Amino acid sequence: MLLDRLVRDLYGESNPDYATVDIFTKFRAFYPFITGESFGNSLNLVDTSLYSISWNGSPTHTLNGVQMNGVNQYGGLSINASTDLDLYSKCAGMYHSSHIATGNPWYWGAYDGNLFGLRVTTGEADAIGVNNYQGIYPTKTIGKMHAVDISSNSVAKLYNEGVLIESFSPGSAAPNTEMLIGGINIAKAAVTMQTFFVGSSLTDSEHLALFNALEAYNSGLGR
Amino acid sequence: MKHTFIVVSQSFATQYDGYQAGCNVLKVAVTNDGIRVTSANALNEFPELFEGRSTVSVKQLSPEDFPSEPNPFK
Repeated sequence: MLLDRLVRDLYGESNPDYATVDIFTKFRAFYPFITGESFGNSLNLVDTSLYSISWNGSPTHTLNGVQMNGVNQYGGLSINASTDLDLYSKCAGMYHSSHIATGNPWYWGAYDGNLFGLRVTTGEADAIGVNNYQGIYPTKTIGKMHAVDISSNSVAKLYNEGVLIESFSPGSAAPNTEMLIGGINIAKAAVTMQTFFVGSSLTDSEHLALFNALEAYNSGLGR
Repeated sequence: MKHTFIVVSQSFATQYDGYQAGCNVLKVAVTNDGIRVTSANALNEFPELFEGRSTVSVKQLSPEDFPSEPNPFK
């Protein structure tokens, strides 16, 4: 029932004015975090036999999502940002209902000296990073959903709530390491995660459609 | 924001830090006071490790109660 609603929202049936996103062709993995327990929340909706999440440190699973403690909890996706994703067509993003106050740490993605993902480090301004590039943004710019997208060898983009906020040339190769959520490297974040996705590059309209669909879906769930 | 942890012994930490069951991996952290703890949700995810225990010691802790890690991005 809950997944039916998600698919209807993603295909624009609940909001016919929106464009649609085909998660089964666009995404390598899509995690809606709706089950309230670790096994269900580990499953990849696109293909439940691939890329199950390994939950480290026993995060708390509720119907509101997955709550991390910011100390030693994170999810490992077993997706290598370099070898499991297309070199010049990749995106990843996170939906969470609570906005991030500036300076609160918040991380997801892969990092080996280069970053493909999000980093907001304590005491610094809000930031989204792709490879060696990091965009710094004013207070609370980063909203309910943020995504990074690489669409060619010369174009990387940062999205906030489905809206393009910056486009630039990626400076280096994607990190050759596993993607994590709730933390990167030794940095951990005390956040509640509600949907994570990773796959091929999306168009601007698809990023917006995805945000609108996830907003409608999560609002419908009361979270 | 504080989160609930349970206190574990050094021997428990040595034996089970990194223990995996299904999609879950147990992790032990050490507080600034040198106390070994793991998430309270470990009781749900790894019941087999806590069989026979009638009580556990619980602590409410925030990330500031743990040693600060160097910024890995600098």
